[in-house]
Amino acid sequence: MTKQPNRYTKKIYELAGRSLYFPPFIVALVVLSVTLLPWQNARHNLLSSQQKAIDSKTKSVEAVIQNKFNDYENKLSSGVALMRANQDVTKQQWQDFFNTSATTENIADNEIIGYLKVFEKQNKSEIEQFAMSQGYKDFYIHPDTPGDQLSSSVIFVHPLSNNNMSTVGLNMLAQNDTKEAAMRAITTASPALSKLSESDSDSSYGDESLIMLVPNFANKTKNVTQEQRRQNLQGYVYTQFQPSQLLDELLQSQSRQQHFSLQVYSEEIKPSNLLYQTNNYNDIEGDERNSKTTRGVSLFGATWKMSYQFDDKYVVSTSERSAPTVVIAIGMTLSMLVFLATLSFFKRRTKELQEQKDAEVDLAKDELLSLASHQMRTPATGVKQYVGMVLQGFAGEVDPAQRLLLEKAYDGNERQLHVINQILQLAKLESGRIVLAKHPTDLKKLIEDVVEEQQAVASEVGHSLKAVVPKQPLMAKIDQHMIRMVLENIVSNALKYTLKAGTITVKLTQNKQYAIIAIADTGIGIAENKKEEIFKQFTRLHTNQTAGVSGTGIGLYLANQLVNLHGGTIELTSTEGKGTTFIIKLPKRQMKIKPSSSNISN
Amino acid sequence: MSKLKQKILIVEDDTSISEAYQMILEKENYQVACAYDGNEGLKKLGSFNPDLMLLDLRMPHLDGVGVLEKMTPKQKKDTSVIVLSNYDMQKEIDEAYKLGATRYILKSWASPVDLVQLVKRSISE
Repeated sequence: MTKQPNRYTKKIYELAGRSLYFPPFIVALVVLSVTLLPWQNARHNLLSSQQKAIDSKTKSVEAVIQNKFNDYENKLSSGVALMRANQDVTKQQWQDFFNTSATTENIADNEIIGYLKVFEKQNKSEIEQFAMSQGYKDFYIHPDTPGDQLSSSVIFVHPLSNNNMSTVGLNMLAQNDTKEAAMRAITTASPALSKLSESDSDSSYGDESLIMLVPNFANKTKNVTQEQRRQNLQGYVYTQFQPSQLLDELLQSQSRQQHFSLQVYSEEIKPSNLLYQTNNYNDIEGDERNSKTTRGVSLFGATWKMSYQFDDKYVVSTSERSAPTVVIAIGMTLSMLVFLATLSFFKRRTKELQEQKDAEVDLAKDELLSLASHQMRTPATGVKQYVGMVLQGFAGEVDPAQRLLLEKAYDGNERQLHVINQILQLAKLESGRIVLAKHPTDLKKLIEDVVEEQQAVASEVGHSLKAVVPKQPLMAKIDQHMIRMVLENIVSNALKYTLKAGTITVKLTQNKQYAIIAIADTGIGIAENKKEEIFKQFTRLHTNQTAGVSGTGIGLYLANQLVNLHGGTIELTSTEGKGTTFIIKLPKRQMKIKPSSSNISN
Repeated sequence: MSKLKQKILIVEDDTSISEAYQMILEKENYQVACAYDGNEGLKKLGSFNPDLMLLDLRMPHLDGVGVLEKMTPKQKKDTSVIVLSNYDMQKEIDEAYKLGATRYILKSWASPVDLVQLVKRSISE
């Protein structure tokens, strides 16, 4: 796969080069910002959902209150109808009416419903007489209102409990808030609910009471103008209640179930105007913006201000509430996944490109090595052939003088070729380009070949070179090309370092694991302290006797590396002045390679 | 031993080398033919039917490995192949052996004497 990146991707890889994390980060950021839009949407939806929920809850609270007051209105109006229908309504009739009235079904027994008779002061005695006739003991009209012309008195009240009895004779118009509501009722000719007055501020919360009045006009038809109404006013049917108690009955359970707290104020939201507060007031917590609201309810001329605090957790369902969080969580997870995926892609791609580059470099190295080797060898090869041919007599007989010169040329050329070989092998070794190709090889035949090839060189100096091998083939799994080089190198060394006519023997034996090749010579030997050194690179044996011997000192180093690669060893025994024996051990079968210092692959 | 001369085909694009080899081998009484690239080599392999072929690895048009690939099994049986090169590339050497070459030699290693010895040994196998 050699996909070449185009210009743009190259730019991206350049960026990635500076920091591998940069492009994935950008991509992740893009993904994250894309999720911002749905997140906003979700938040917006949540907000309007919450608004709707709050609206509906507050509306249901208002409905409950409105219904209650409508019931009151019905009840009071029926009382007015009673007064109109009958000329002289008695106390008993009042009781009977409200005991059995159908409209009382929805209303609790302890709700007060009474009749406040309005009269001119001078007619006071009439009222007192009436009261006596009704059987009220100790009836007296109180308090006295010195300035006003009009007075009033409660003459009927239902139910007739002891508490309620004490209100009989009460001049309710003397109270400012009642008076205000009463006047309002005349002005509007409709029911009026009293408002908390300033004077009530000294009574503590919970004790206040409100009163709702429906006016009773004598003449049904002539009640158009204010004046007429005042003229015709007979009295008021009223109900009196404690708003805290009433609202508690109406709303406490609802507030608990719907998870909100509520404060109800008369007219204005200030502490002195507090009518009612749910008992979970301090428990409910919520976010200012979304869960707190104030509504106003209009009730028969009075306004109640309702201050709600909703519990965030319950306004909308938990799943709805968590929707924006879920969206952003998904967004972040997604962008994290994208980040990781992009990162791994870039890592992989960078690695691929690097490997590609490495492979290209390796290929270039190979080409260079092969080119160098060829260019250096070709001219020398030609010389070798032609000078060799002259020496062989191809161009006629060669006299000794000519032979001498020609041989010098030939030898020089040989040395050159030898050096080229060694340097190239070394280069390959160092760059890790050597790969062993191991096949089962007959070592017997290999040794015989090598020995035979070196006979010419041996006989020139007068050495005796022989192979001592078993009759049968000896197979070992080796790279024959490499091992041949090793043998050639060591044999050639043996020949070189044996000065006089000597004996060089190549002996092949084996044990259970190894094939053993022993190359023995009768040469100058190697000093004890030099035995390890000669395997090192660029070391040559330097003695007086070896001054004439050529060599780059690469051979044994190379031979050792190659044998090690096969899992084998080269050892030597030597006596200075007597001779040297190199012992090469090669595993017959595949063995684990011990790690060596060079980076050759196998 | 056949009375006929043994035949050797030299497939090599470097004429100075092939001429030298030809001279050396003809002196040893072999019948020698030359080809200068792989395609020509294959042709002459068919027509000349040598006992031994000296095959250079790097040649124009068709290289040594290509020739080995295109040889028929019969040809491989009848003709020993010695592969020559001055490049000494491991991959090529392995390929050559895998495809049935008897021997690989570095050209710069073989003196005239070496060449003759090598041919004598290989041709009789």
